Amino acid sequence: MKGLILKDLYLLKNQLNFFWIICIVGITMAFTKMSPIFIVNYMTLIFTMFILSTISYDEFDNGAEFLFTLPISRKGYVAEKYVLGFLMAASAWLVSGGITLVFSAIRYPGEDMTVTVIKMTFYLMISMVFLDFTLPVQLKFGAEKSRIAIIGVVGGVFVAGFAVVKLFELMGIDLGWLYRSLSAAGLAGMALFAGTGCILLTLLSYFISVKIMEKKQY
Amino acid sequence: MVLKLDNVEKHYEKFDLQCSLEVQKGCVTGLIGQNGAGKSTTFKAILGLIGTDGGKIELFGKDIHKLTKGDREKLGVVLSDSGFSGYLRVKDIIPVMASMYPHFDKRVFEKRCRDFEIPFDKKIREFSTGMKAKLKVLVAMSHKAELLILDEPTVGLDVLARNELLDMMREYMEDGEGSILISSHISSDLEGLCDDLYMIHDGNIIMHEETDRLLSDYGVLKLTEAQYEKLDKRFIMKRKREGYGYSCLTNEKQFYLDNYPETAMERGNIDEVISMMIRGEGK
Repeated sequence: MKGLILKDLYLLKNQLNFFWIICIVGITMAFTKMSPIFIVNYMTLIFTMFILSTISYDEFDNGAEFLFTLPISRKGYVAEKYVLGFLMAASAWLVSGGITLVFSAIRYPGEDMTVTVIKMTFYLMISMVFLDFTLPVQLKFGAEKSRIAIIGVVGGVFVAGFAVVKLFELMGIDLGWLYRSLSAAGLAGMALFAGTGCILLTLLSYFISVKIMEKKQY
Repeated sequence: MVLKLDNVEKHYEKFDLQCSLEVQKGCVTGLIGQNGAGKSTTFKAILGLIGTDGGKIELFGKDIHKLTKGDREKLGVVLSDSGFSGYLRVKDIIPVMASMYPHFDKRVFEKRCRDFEIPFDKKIREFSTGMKAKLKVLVAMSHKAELLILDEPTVGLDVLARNELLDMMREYMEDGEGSILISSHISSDLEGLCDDLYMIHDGNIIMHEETDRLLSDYGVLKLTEAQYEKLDKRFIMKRKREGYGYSCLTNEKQFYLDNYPETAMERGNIDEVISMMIRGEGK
């Protein structure tokens, strides 16, 4: 996996200018009255998206074909994309989160930051959920078609979610208990619940991606 | 035996591959055929890049689906239309290779790159065709692979660059531990390098022969119709209608030289043989 991570980092060096622009935008945002939570969300999500461009680089000029002649399994390739995606999201989250917290502490001295930190963790999870949806789609459809496919996938998920809720309603099952339990658990409890859901979704997404890659013919 | 394909089948809508071949330890085996004959499909099947519809492929004595990371480290591969991303530089490839292959010899790889004047700091996509081809072969040979699988490694190269690459392959074979499976549609590349040759046409292996025997025992007889009628056809493999009569491929050149000294005989070479095997008909 180390070799693949190095390869992707070297490939991402090609986008160094874009990295700097995002950092400058993020720092500029910090000087404005923009919500610190939004800045962290923006930075984390944008940095997470870079992992998708590594797949495009791999596909360019049949490169993936050669990659799988190296001592890399398809499962290992998929795992590396999730690990590097998470590492990029976590690094961007930590750095942007750290900076915005320092800014907030200077601007609003004495204010309790616990709630802000917990809220921030939701945005790390959102980035992972973003990866969970986009990685399998990108691996399946490639860089070009995946832009259209992801719209279909997200739409499909919403429709499925809506259908499940309606089905429960028709069956007379009250989902209100879930909402009430979450509200009672407080923000930290909700973060824990969301975190568990995020891990399960990531595992499901990983297994789908592995299946997609194992079926791929070059 | 390093590699064995036993009745491997792959079916596409307009193409069917059915292939059996073997690569022995310490040998260079060539796969020759026209464009679209099935060379790349065979290579992809060996490397697990495509699934197969039948048959069995064994690498280092193991089914290819059971190969470990360690087994794959013993392979060095060149693909004709693919390689490391063009957005990487040679200086980027070095740490990547070092992380993937425990036997990667950084010092030797760097020296060879310098010898072949391959720039370290330039993106691969900016390389010339020759530089790209040389780099692919250097990468495949950089980690003490036991088997090199080289699909058209000399494609698009001028004579000098081709000879340089072929010399590198001969050097690789010197210790007798390595093996090579190489494909090319340039027969002269294979004549001077391979121990044995497989000819592939329309997805089928149409001939397997040792290169020495092919060059020494094969020949093409040029016969008038009258000469052809009187000919002992026991050792004629294929015949082809010509303006003057028939040309016939034999694998017992000496028999006809001894018994029919008046007939014209062309020395067997890969191009002649493959042409006769494909275009010729049964005797």
